[in-house]
Amino acid sequence: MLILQGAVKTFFHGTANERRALRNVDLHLAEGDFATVIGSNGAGKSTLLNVIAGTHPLDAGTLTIDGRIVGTMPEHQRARTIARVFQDPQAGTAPHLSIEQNLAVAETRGKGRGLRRGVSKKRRQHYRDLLATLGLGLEDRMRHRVGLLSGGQRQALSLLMASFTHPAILLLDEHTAALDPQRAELVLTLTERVVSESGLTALMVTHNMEQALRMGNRLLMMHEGEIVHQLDAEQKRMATVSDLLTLFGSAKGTVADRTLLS
Amino acid sequence: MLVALDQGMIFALLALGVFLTYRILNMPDLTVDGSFTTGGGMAAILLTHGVHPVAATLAAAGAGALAGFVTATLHTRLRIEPLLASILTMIALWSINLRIMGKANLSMAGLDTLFSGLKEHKLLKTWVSVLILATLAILAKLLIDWFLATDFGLAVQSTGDNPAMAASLGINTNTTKTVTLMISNALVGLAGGIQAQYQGFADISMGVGLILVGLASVIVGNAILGTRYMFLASLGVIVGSVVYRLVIYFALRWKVLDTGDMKLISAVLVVIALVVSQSPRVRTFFQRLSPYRAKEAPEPLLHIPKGGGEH
Repeated sequence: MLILQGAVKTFFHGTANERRALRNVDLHLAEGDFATVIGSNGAGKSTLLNVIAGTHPLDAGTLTIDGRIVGTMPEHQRARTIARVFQDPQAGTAPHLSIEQNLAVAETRGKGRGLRRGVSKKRRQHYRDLLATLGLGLEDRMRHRVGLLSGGQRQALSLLMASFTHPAILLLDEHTAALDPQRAELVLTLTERVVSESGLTALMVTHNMEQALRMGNRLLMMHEGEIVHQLDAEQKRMATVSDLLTLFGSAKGTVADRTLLS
Repeated sequence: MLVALDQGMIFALLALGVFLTYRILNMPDLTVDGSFTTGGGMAAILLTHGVHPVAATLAAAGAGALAGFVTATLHTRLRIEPLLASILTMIALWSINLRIMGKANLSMAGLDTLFSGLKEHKLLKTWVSVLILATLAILAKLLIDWFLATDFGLAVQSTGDNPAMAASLGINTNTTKTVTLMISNALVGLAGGIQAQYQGFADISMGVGLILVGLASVIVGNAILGTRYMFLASLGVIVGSVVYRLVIYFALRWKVLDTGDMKLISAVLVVIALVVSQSPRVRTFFQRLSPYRAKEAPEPLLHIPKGGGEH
């Protein structure tokens, strides 16, 4: 489904601020895989999502999605198959457009956008049903501006917008980090539901180790631009938060050793 | 006073163009100062060559669209900041406009124009001409409303509202920006073409400072009718344009000002309108006036639910 090989991304190349966000990352996601990604700040987690989405071009390496090499394809073209939910609840929606207008923009993802009415009657009915599944009462506020919604509501809407057109790949970038625990829980439950219902291939970055263990069937641990550990479904089921912390410790150790030796 | 209304309706077309860039695309586009003259000059030169007034007016709109395309290309392909890109086009258009017109002032005296019929029957500067020009402005407004409600129009709105989200949803923001800048400047060119015929001449400096007239109309109009509903927001732009002309008209008539002061007034008016429309006190005042806004008091972005939460 998604094959990333030898991915390298360096920011501020050749300056004093040079930062090697991705060193040599290989990642294979099979169809239906749901991998969580953990790692310390600056480990390259967000950069990994950004190079997959096409926000940042790769310096080296290849990215293949569904058998197609998408190396130079711009973000808006990749959006046909890749959907995203951002950490910032404000980032994934247009605040001055209404809920139904935001959904209409999301619905035309990857299709030509012509001069047909954006929010048609048929679509409105569809959106009402979709919003009702969120259980947030948004179906009665479809003409309200999204800027008026709370963070949790916006994030739930973002998730719906990212998933209801059934993209092949869903990228989640700490999408519950800005929410209070109860809203975070709600958004997580929704995430599990849409991923399993649509059989999406998903990559979820998180800072929360419990979340990382609970969600998905694979776990990736990143450190200083590399994937230092991977757990498969079986290992993940057995692992605990303290196991992850131990792994973290060893990861830091090995990298530090390697830096010393090189 | 009817002259002021005529003018208000003609310049409403320009203001609608500014509305598309400034409000919808969130991009101040100074191309306007040049493309208005381009439209006026284009219509004038074509009329002196015997082209039919309607065709000449449409050509004025087309020339405006082309100017918008240049600004869009400078910005999207050559990655020049939008404000600077539009200034570059505006300055360059001065020379282009002189080339189009051949000289700095082009009279259309005695030529067949859009307004010949009205003039003949002494209907210019009467309620008849006001009504005709108002119909045109409303038509343009309805077209914009329709356009912005289409799939493509929603993509345009997203581009201005949240470019990162737009790109992540597969919107080619270069395309949306280019098309919108072209439509915007087509309206400005159209206004220039019509204005030239209305006043009977095109002048190389007829567009100078008009971006401020457009901005003043948009800001004043939106302050009066709000931006909550697209229908009212674009209607407000026309209202704003008329209000602006009336203010100028009465200021001139009561000898408070003379025509040389117009640019200063435009600038001062925009400053006042900007400051006033941003003042929270004024906002609450307008919110109290309109019941639909009061209902939509924003919820706190991240509030911790008490007890059962929202289920």
